[in-house]
Amino acid sequence: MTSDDERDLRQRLGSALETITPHPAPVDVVLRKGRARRTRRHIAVAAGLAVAVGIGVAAPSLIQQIARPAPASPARKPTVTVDPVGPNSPRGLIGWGTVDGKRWRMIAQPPGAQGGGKNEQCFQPSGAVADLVCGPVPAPLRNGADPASFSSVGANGTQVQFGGVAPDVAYINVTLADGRLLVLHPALAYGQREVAFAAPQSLGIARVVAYSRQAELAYSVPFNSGSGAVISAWLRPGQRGLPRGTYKIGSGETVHVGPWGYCLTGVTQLCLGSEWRSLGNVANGRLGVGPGGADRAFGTATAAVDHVRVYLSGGITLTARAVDCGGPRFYAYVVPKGHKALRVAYYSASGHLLASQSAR
Amino acid sequence: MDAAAEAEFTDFVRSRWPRLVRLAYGLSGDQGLAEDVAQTALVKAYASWPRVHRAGDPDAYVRRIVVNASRSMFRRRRVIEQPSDTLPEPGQADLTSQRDQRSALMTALMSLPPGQRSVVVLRYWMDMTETEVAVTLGCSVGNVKSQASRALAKLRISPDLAEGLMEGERHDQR
Repeated sequence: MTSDDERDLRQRLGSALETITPHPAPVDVVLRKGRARRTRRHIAVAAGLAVAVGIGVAAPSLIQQIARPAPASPARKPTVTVDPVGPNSPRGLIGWGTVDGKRWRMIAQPPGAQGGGKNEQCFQPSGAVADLVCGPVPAPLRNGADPASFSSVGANGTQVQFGGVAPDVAYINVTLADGRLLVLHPALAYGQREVAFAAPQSLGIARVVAYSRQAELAYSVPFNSGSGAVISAWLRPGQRGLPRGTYKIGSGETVHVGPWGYCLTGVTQLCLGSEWRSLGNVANGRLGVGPGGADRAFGTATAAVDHVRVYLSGGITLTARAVDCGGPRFYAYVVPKGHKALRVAYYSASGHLLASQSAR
Repeated sequence: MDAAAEAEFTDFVRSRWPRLVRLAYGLSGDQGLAEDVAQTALVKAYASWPRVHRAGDPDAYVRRIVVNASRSMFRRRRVIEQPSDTLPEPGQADLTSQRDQRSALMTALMSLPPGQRSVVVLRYWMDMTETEVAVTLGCSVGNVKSQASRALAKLRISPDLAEGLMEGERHDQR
């Protein structure tokens, strides 16, 4: 195989395929059929996802949640229960219980069941939240690292939190903001031990603690918003989390710092996972599409960085200030529609170039 | 899905549609089929959009569905097309004096097994690395390399591509 062959093939493929003129994108058909695939058409998903997406150099894990305001909570205290998953439960059942008398269930499907390939797995909630959620199969958890990796889905005032746990986790205690305690016991589904619980979206989650048979393994203080909690950073017993603070970083984005690590709110809601401890210069953290169809993105920078220049396609250059968020610095920028961020360069206050990296 | 997420998804559909159709066309050789496959992939992406999008690479997700769906369509077509003892009536001779270059390449591509064809299109049209192709196809990098090597060897001697890839051999002999 010669490079001439490959070059020639590339040219031929380009000539052949780029000349194909598709019909206009069938947006209406896609939306209609896509909605029909959902179990309950009126449910809008507000989901948090604990998946490593590998941005820039440090490749942190990102947990992102689209914030959707919950309806006003009732004046009285809703009942919240989690029931044990017994040996005769339906296959894939990882959690069930009630929220305010309404039963909910969360069932794991076999990887690849929805046709997305063996690297995709879906979870089917039922009850108040009944929207299928699918995503890449996360890497198995191991003892000594984070004991659990939670995702969430929420609608109609209810949030369902679910995820895999490490092999040494015997149970997890969840303390709700009103002091009530839920105890989760892992259930085995398709080779992975999982837990799940549900609570009102408006009811915060104060603390989540994972235990082995002998002792406490780690605890997490979730980031709570009106649309539910994001359980992201885990701390060892006795370890103190980050001091709390709120920082506006531009482009409509805010960084919330606390024991949960770092969470951003703005066009969407996103929390950094376990890599929050080792942030350096990281580019191309994607936030989502804001008004006008422009992409919002963010990155982090070391303490020496004062500002960044973002080089976009089409010869456009943006400058964003790196805001001190109690340690690492964060920056955010808007990529105009039709353009892509290509490269980010990090500068000191005196204009000295400190580093640069691809933004792809 | 709330309005903002749906607007975001709609933008995604509009901007990715042409490339997805072209990818599916490269895998199936049929534009109508390619549009069906691309539409199917986007419908599935819609159903899982919030989670897919937050995983950071919705393009990779949709690409995998297109590749898998193209293979499924290919298998279904093979089942439907049953061999017959009766030969079809011969078509009229093509009076066009110049060869359709795209047609020649597509004929050659369609003669490759689906696995090799997928590797060729992903590697040499989408410019994906061997690792990215391996992840998309759910196989090893070694498998991608050998599929690519076999595919190029076949294309090099394809009568539909009498020029072009053969040039590589002539260059080697200089």
